[in-house]
Amino acid sequence: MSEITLRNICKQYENEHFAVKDFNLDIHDREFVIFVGPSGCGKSTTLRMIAGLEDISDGELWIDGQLCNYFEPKDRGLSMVFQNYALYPNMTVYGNLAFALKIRKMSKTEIDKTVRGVAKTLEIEHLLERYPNALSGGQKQRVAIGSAIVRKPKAFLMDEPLSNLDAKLRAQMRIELAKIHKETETTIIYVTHDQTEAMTLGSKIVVMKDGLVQQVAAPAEVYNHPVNLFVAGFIGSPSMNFMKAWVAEEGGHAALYLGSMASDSKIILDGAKGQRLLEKEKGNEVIIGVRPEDIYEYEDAVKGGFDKNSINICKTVSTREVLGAEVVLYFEEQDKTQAVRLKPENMTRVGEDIDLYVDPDRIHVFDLSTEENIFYGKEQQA
Amino acid sequence: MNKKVKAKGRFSPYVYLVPSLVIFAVFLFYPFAKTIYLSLFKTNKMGEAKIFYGIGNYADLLSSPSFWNSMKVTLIFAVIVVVGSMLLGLITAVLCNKAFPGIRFFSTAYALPMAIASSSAAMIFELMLHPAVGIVNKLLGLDINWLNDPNTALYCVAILTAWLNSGINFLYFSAGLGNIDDSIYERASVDGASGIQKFFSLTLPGLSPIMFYTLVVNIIQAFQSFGQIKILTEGGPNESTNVIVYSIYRDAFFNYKFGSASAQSVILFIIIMLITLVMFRIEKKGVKY
Repeated sequence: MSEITLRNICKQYENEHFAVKDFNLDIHDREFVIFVGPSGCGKSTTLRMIAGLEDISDGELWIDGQLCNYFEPKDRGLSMVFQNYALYPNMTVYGNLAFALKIRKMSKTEIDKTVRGVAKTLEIEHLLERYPNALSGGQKQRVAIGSAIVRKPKAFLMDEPLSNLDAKLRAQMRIELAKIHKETETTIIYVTHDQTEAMTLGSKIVVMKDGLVQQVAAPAEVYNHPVNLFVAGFIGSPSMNFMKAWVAEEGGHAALYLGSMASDSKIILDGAKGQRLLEKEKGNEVIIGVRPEDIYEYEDAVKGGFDKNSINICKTVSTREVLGAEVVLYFEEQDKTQAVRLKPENMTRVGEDIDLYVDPDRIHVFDLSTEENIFYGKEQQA
Repeated sequence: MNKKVKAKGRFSPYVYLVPSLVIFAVFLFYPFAKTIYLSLFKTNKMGEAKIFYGIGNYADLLSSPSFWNSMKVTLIFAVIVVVGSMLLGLITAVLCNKAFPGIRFFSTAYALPMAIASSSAAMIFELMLHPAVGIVNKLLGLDINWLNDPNTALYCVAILTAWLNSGINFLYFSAGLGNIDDSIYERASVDGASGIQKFFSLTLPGLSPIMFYTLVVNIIQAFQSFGQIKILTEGGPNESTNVIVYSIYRDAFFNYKFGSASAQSVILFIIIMLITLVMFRIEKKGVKY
């Protein structure tokens, strides 16, 4: 059992700069929580405050019903995997795995049993007598994870544990981490800037920016219903396309004119979404966001039944990327490069024009000044 | 022609070595060879070899109680100096490895002995240890003639030397500590290690490569200490501080027994060489990463 609660956690440095501000989160037993955000957003700092490696400037940290702000790291019952592995260079792999157990004065036979058990799980039995400097990156990673799980902590804290591995190994370790989470049934708090890791591993994602929590939700929720422009743009690859548009009323529905009111590219939003948009932003300029996979060619738009309601963006393809199962085309709109993800059969070449239709049900509309999502923003969630 | 170029190519590397070889030859190789040569002779007061004496000088030394006393004094002196200076250097380096206000003052203070000449330090110590006006007796409320008592003189000189040598050790250890990755301490904190456990499990092993180097240098330095002994005790009282280097100096420049002094030099060389060789042997087994 482990319940970790963060209440109004702040980290302020001497120069008055807030690294983390007003961080609130409930982490339940066996959850896989991911802190994700760009460099310097405060995600590692938050993790280190939970671990006890950084002082908490303000707020409360509760672990299993105990206020832990002033507990030493060793008394918090957590274990941590560091970005650079932090293996003890003077100890063999066996020594590294056994260190935390030795400190707890476990008997030698018990230590041996536990260490060998963990080594077997992680397939590092043959490395036990080696020193860290004789290990490859992937092997070091396994030893670091092994050292963390060996003493069955209340929760694992992982600080970008896969960022030093190459792409293939990273994908492999990602799968193993998911497996370890399932097998150990322990809470994991995981920091990453890699949104693929966030989306694939997490049961709950915390998106951060400039020390502030932007959104806390399940991966699919974050992807489909981002609360603001930042989350929308950060999660997803290629990232969401953003374009400016004007809101007007047309036959009782909301119409979005791309670029200017005089534009002939427009999108009609009917139903509740349309009403909501008119209520909030009629006559205003807004930012619309469309994921690359929510833009279609004409035939698919007809099939989807939204060819009449959708923007027809006729654009010249500037770059073409074939990814095997799909093809990503890039075009310029409003001085920005926009992406569209199409079926691999699409043969449009660079320099050719293509007619594109946006699925109106899948668009996001953001307020120009607050950058909040008009449909899913904090106001709606409250 | 071709041969000439080849010959030139073969010799040119040595030409570049000539300047340093000349310096080594004048100040090291020649005196060393001359010392060995002299150790086999009886000399006149000018230090000129006069009568071939074979291993006579060595045999005389080995049967002389004064020489064995020198060896014993040197050993005690070296142990105190090496242990003292390394402990002092290590403790001060560990203390200064954390950031806190005034760290620069403390760092400078701990490294300062490096910049003090042994002779001036000796003179300051002489004042401090003065039986009548010295601060040590005043503070301790004692009445000990530190430098003239055979029971205390060696310890006084050794402690002074340990302090003098601690400055450079502070520097070595600080550099060594800087090379230890901070994240392993963080991991150890989370793993549950106390400060003392971290020191013995991580800091000391992390310092082991530099520790070895420092140990070798300190041993050599301790064996070669001279200035402070010359000023403070001149080998006395009652030969209680007559370390081998001072004994060499005394035999050569007081008693004009250059042969005997040379023989002692050779013995000192052999001792230091053996210790260093043994240490290197141990290092290969001891430092594992």
